[in-house]
Amino acid sequence: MFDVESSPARSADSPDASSTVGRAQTPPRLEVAGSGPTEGHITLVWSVDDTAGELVFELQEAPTTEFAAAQTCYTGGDRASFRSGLPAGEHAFRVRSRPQSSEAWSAWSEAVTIDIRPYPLAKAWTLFGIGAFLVVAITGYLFVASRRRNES
Amino acid sequence: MIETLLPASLGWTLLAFLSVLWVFLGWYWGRKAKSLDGYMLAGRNVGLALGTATAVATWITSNTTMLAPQFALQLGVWGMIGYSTAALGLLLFAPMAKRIRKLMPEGFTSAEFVRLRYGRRAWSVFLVISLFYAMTWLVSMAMAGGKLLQALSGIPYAQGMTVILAVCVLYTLMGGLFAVIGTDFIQSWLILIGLVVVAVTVLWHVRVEEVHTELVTRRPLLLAVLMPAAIMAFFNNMLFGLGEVFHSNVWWSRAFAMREGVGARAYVLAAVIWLPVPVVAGFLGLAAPALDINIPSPDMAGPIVAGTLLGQAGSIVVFLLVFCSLASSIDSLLAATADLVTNDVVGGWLKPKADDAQLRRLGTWVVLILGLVTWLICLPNVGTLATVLFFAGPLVGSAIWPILLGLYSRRLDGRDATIAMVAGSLGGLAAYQWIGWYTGAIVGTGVSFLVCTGALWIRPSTFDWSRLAEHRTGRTD
Repeated sequence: MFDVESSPARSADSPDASSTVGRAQTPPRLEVAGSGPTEGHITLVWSVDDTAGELVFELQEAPTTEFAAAQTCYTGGDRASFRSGLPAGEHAFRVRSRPQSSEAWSAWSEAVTIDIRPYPLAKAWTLFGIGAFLVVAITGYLFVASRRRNES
Repeated sequence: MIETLLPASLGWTLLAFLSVLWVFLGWYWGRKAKSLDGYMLAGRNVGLALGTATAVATWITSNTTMLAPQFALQLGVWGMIGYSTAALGLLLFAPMAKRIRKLMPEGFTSAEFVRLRYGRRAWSVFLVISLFYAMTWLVSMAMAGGKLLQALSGIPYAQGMTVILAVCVLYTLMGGLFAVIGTDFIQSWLILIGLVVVAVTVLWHVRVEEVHTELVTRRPLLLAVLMPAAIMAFFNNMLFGLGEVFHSNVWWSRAFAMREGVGARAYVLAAVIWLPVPVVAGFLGLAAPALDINIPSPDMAGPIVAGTLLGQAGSIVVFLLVFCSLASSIDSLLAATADLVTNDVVGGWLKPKADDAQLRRLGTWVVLILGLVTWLICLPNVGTLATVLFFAGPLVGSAIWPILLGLYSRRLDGRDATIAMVAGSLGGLAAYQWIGWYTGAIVGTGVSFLVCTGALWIRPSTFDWSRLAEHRTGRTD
């Protein structure tokens, strides 16, 4: 239903693949903790097997799992990130880690993708219209009724 | 996993200080709560300042400080503005408070009004809705308390939740509504000062133009006027807010407790004071991307942004703000829900012959049991804040029209009011389940509206207003 899936990130094709140097680290596991494909948001969590020392993570977002036009959306020690305001279309995410004391990044995790498909505007405006009618009816009735009662 | 804003030792110290302070103040102010009237309704003599403050403090819940930034971060500017329209509930309740006081000067609870106006069948349905809503709100507040204290200072969820709930239970059972309103007055001031400090600090770090530019570049949907999810949620949230205020005994008990002529003005003032609060809190959510602050969980957006910018000293302000927001809502809910149970379930059903002194004693036990039940529900820490909260939307939405027409029209009878609430609740819950959470309150209110207007047209009745003077549940049947 959510159209959220994992697929191997093609880190070899990414522009910064060469920066993955140093000792081999297990890449983090990236998972979806929650998502709103119609509302344009996703909560990502990641974990690593290697618990030794403080780790720094880099989370990237791109329109496809090719990660050709990837943007780093977070770098730091947190192990979760809530991304919102995502426009319609596919969004891919991946994460990698390194020890705080080292520049050697792990390989990228498997990518997670989400297909943002906002509700049709016609449906949105229909609900908006019904809601507006009800609120106006409540306010109008209360205004008229309380004035009448005050007068009487 | 997520770095806390305060060390746990400082968190515990603050928690201990605030706990002792509120319990002492609750005991001090509650000394006058000897009679049932005093315990449940603060002697029916609450003035404008205290009346306004208690309405503001109660309506600034932890949801205002947590959910408003979450809405802004999730649904953009629409979400933030949509949340602030919950002030409309207080505003529209102003004339209703005056009417309630006039119709039932000796009344105790909203359910009592429904029983006298519509009869026992409608009363039963209304009690189910009211108690479900109250428990949902209470549980979401207590859970939010545990989560917030953990996020702010690393105090484990179960321990933080237990302490905050225990403190509120203790001073509410000692002082009843006297204690609740007294502490609300101090809490409302602390909350408003805290919010001003947070707002000024955020604007010191980031200009509104920067936030706008960052959102346009990286999260354009949050600024979109035509964001479908936000458009759909707008009136749903508003109707949910109206339903909450119109039916809940939290607000009715204050209407009964305020001096004659005070209620309407107090609720208007409270609405005006409350209106900008979600905008300030919501701006924290929108500012997060511009400040490059990672938000691991959307319901923690507000505290994380505020705490990150304010540093340790400022985080104490956030801690105070959060604790006051939670306590001012939890105590009000405990008192108002205990009144419902004491007056309507016990006095009206289980022990209809109980006198005031017996009910006064039972009231303290009810607060205690209510606190215990809430604690047991909260302990496993299940469900997200928004989910728990919005589940009650359809139910309270379905009560809007029966309450309105019950107060102002003679023509709706009990059978139709019951059908309106049942059909509205079921329809709203079905929409919530199968269409989405953003439809629950709209459908609940809409179905109830159709039933009520249809009934007024097809089989209008004539209610005798003087029957509302038979105010004590179970005594006059």
